Amino acid sequence: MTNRIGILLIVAALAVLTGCAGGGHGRDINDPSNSLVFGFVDMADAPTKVSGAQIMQVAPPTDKPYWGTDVKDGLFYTYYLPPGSYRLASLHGSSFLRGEYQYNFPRQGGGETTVRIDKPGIYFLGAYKYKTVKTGFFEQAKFGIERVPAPGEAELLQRLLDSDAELKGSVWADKIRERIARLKKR
Amino acid sequence: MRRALHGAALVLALASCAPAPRAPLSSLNDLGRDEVMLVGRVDLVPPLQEHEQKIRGVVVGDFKNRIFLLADEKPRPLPEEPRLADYAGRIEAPLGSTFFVRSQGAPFYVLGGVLFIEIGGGGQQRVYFPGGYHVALKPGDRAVYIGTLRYYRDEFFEIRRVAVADEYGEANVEFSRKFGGGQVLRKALMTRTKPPAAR
Repeated sequence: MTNRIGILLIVAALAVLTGCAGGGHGRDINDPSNSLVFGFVDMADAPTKVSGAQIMQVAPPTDKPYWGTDVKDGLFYTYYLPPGSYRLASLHGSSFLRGEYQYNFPRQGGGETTVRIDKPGIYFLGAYKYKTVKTGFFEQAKFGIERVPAPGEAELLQRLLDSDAELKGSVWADKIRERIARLKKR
Repeated sequence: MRRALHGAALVLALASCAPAPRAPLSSLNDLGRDEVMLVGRVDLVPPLQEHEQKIRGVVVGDFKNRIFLLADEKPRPLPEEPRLADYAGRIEAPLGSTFFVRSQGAPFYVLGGVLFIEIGGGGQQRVYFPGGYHVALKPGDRAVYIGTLRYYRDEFFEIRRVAVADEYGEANVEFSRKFGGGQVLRKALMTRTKPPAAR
């Protein structure tokens, strides 16, 4: 079952690079109103790996709705999000042979790849696998993502702790360890 | 790249070579013998905010704050992405305002709605609305009020509820102001043919 169908675009490098870094809109990593939002996508069947993801703030309104994320081996995350409603808007990546790709998710709906943050915390958008969607020759190229059980939330949080030195030296380290401990008790 | 251009091509096609919509009308005298004026309205709750719709670049046609109601003489499900032909006879309804459009005098069905919320800038995003409403026109009708189709949505554009509201009083006042007090506006609210399917 494919959870979400999106539109695949081959784009110019400049457009892809715009806003794709894991910036926090000038927020401090230790700001107590921050939330950590993260997810994972297995791009083994995609034209490219994923090198960036954008999360769109749909509420409250803002002039800068797009939040970049850091990406490590399919794990995308940001730890700067203030309370609000967000959706996974796009992924992007490039390969030497195939060029720059942008994987756009539809603005409508989104289910598990959306999050309403009422209070600061850790929010997992899920782990997914990229699926190719067949379309006709003259149709817009599409892709899908399918929810997969692994890697799980605890495993991904541990990867975060192990791979991001800035995060490990911040208030997030203890919060993540607590979260992992709770998840392991389940 | 051909595929990347497809979305933009649909917008261009809608503006240039798409089948005609049910056209706005400024005088009842312009109606043909077998035609009728449809009066109605579409509301989005909460309303579409300016920042939620991005129409960029040179775009022919009016997409701003406008929902396209797709219609057909027979009830049928729309494809996941409506084809160009599905836009034939659409009602281009300004959200939150009364529309007055020319239509053939035969009953028809509202199949669903499409709102373009992003055009240009390398992408296109559409939001789809459920349909399944019957408009019961009768021979001899000249002007018919079909109601306010009210879509309740969340911030992710999930449609949570749909209702047809009777705002005949307000619509009739506006109708009389525009077209003269001697004209009769018959009320025939859209009726649901089946529960709106979630998209």
